[in-house]
Amino acid sequence: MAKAKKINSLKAFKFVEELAGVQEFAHKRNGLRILIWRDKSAPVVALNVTYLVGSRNEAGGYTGSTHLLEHLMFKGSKKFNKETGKLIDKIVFGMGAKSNASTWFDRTNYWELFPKVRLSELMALEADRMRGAILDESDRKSEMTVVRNELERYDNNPSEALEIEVWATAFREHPYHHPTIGWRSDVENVSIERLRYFYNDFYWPNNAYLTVAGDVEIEEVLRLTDRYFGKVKRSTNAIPPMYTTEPVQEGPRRVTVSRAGELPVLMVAHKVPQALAGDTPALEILAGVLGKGKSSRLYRALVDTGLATSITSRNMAFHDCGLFITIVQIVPGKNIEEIEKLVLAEYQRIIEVGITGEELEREKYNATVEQAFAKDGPLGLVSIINEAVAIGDWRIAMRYADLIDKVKGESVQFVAGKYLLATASTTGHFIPKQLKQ
Amino acid sequence: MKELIKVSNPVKGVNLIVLPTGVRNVASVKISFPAGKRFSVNNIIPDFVAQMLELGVEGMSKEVIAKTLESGAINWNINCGATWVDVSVAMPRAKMDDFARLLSLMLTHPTFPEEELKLFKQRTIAEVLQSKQETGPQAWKLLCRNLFTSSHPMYEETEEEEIEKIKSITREDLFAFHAQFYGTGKTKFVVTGDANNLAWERLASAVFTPMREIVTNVEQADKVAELPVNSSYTTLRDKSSVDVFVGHPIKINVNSKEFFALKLGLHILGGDFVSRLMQEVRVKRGLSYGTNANTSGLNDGDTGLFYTWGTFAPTFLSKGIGTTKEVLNSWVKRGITKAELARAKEAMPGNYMVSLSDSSGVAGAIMNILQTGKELSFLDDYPKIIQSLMLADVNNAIRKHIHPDNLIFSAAGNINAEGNPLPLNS
Repeated sequence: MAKAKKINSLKAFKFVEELAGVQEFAHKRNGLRILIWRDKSAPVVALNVTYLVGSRNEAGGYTGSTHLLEHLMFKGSKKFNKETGKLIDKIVFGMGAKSNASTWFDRTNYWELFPKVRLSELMALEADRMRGAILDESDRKSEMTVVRNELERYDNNPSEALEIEVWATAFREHPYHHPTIGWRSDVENVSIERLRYFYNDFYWPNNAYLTVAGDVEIEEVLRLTDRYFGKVKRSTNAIPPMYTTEPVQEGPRRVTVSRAGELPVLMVAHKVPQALAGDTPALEILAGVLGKGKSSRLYRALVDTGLATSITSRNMAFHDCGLFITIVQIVPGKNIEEIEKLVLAEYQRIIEVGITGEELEREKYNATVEQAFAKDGPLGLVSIINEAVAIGDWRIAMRYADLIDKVKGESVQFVAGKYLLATASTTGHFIPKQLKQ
Repeated sequence: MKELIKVSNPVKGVNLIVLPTGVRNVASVKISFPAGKRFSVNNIIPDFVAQMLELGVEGMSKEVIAKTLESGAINWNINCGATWVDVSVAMPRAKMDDFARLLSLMLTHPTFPEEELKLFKQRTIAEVLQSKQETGPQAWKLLCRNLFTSSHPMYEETEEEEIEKIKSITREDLFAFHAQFYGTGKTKFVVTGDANNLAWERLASAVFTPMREIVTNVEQADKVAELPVNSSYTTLRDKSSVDVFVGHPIKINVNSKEFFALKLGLHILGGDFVSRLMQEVRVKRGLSYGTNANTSGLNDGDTGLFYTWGTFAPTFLSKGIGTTKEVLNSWVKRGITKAELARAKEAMPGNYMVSLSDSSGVAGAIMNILQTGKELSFLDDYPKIIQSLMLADVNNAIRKHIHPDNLIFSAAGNINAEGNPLPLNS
């Protein structure tokens, strides 16, 4: 508490709370939220800016805009550009930083992992491109073909291609319908004006989180944040809300992708609620019991018996809703329909009988260890915070193991029965076509 | 960093390195020993031996092994390379006893059950078939097949040849290889994280004392294909992007100053986002999502590979290969500039520092030092080595080792035998 009082002496900030060593502050003038974690293990720092904008904020005609904009954010900003001789990439990679950006359904983030002495420089850079990005048509043109090749690389992979079809089939109205990379024709044709509108709608301090982890002092981070980000004004307009909801699904859906390939792929997906819903921890355990690791039920039923080369089950819950997905890579010559029945039979067994105490304890213990590893280096920590920010509450990242620990076996059985319903399912098949080369 | 490291030999032939880092309650473990693919004529046998350690040991079925590992949150990975078998484990400190018991049984008493061998063969054959639809692996295999002879560890067989080798493997092959190559002698054991060196010495002693010492000699592999070698295109239908490798064989001592000079040159050519290849191919011309340059297969003293990689839409393939070659030719002919040297001297040590920011990164760096026969002081010395390089060192190393006339390329994607695009979804 004494520390919090001292920090409050930096008048630009409001101390919000501390959880598991992470301290949260808010910039009083512009609403930027700051999360700081000190770890002196190595003389490095991870910095991450999360903007609460993702492909959920897009619609037809400009799908993929969030991601294309992310690429253009490296082309230059008011102070960091060709004319000033300070190019973003040259500065970042010149110091040996690891750095990248990524876009997903609910967020866009920009991160760097770097020697601690460069903190000030990178804070200045991130603050400058928050409102000062130079978005030029010539850059859009050259970057469009780069992004299109990224899209083509996803498309090369049968599982990725099938997963895009499964999401597009499962979600009819909600923007999780379209992939974050966007539809090809939108990526090719979206105008620079549309991207500028997009930037001006969402890139504001009051729609962002700054996370700094590593060998830092709290006061130093706050001082630098105020110096660089403090000058950025909060948005004059409200951040545009995304209000589209997905109607209740009224029957099973199926989709097939058939193209040249070698191995069939099966995806079985069911709708799940938003990530912050109370059922999420039980669904996480359900995914672990069904399809995570070699002790999982589906691994034993499908891989150990020679029917599949790999399986995985994931609870992919996002800000608004999501899918519980099982993906099976099938051994050639095995019957995909039969394997689908086996997957559903394992689901049914949990719905009817539940999981064992041993399975429950295994998942809980793994969550505890995962949480411990999250603090092994600053980049891991900022990464999990980034995802938690995207779903609506950064504290989930630090409470994950506790939330999992509270789950009872009956709850796992309950959520299996509640969500693994045929009427809420979307099933995808990738069927390889054998072509003459 | 070196002064924090504890070095010991709990058993003759086992080199244990323990380095505590800031993380609490968990540790990263890396174990390595020479039992890789080069030690068997059927080079798939060593991989099967390594992968099947998890599928049965005396008194434990694969189910019990999986349960022991996963209930204890012991994340076990094993990889069989040309020379080394590399075990990589992330685990809670509290599960050291379970880990020790299991590791000991895996290394000394695997059972290679007949039924598991049958299933594992079936799964591996499916994975080999799967790789036939992947543009990256196909282009890589083609390049290596064209550049090396069949006895070289870098050589890549066709899928059909691999499948024949897989089918021929017997339990007896596995036991024989295990008996011959699984022992102490050159075992390296690295632990970082929440690690107490005395506790890990006890563990290593318990695990490795029952094992016999084995002398393993590595014969350097230098046989490459005779020049000239042709470039090749492979057709993979319905793929939107083509993977391309450009390269030639290279022989250089990874512990020499010349090697670090070449690495600095490669950093400028294709080591990061501001490298020449990325700037020209991606940023200026918008031809590709990614491209880079590196070396492979040099760590054990063998002749290895210098290569660049890129990914292109089929319609941009010709331009992509052309631009890559232009950049390469200019890099060799004109060398790197003073400004580039200065940039790399800052970037490479910085990059090294950030790679050591978690326990797994530190353990990996230490293991690399041990496998390549360097001193542990290299952890601290690397930045000084890079700082000491002069422009002439770098440009001489590039000109000595990279020969544009010998470069060939391999490309895999929705293209015909001449490299022209084919229609999609035909």
